[in-house]
Amino acid sequence: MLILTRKRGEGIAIGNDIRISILEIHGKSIRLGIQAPKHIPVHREEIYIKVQEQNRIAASESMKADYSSLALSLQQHGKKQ
Amino acid sequence: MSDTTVLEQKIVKTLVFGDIPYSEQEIILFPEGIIGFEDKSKFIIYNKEGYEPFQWLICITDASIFLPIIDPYLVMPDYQVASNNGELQSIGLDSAKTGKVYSIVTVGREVHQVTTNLRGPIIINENRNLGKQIILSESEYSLKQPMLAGSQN
Repeated sequence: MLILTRKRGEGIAIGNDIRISILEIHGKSIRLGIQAPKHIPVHREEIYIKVQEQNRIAASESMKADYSSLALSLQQHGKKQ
Repeated sequence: MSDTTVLEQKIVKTLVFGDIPYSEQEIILFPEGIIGFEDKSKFIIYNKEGYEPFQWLICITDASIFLPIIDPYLVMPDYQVASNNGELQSIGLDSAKTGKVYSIVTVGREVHQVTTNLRGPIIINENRNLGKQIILSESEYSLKQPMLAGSQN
């Protein structure tokens, strides 16, 4: 991991197309501005990890399911509505 | 000797449903894969009669990526999918409104354990057979929305 120390108002360049700006520092929070090409997704790290993990769990659970029984239950539930 | 050309039926071998045949026209390309599986780019959507509302997103090069999906509007009729500016360009869409939206389902042993990921929907450009998973960053939607209202998770 590359470690840099920046002050408010300073920035970081990643490749030709990505820029990170340190906009504000308030106590423990830092407000960052991120410029990146549209095809590059930018997310708070924790949400990216959560979606990744949920995909993995979904894939792993998908092999064990009794889809016929679950589908029937959902269809019956739908009819009750 | 007859000059017949035998076209090999394309098949993806799955653990759950055995051999699933598909055609070239059904293949959906995910240029960026799906989140956590960025190297998996070729998928089909499989439907099995009688198993509604389930459908499955299956990677044809790796059938262990076998994901149940549903139409999220069945779970939440007023679900709002707002993509970040330009993030669907890689699949030829200006916005999620012109795409087909699916949610990945996490199944469980019982129906009240079944949840859908409303935070990370799959968007498909059906005209061009392109797909992408996006994250609805600014939303409060759950990654584990119970399929049945009133279910605890």
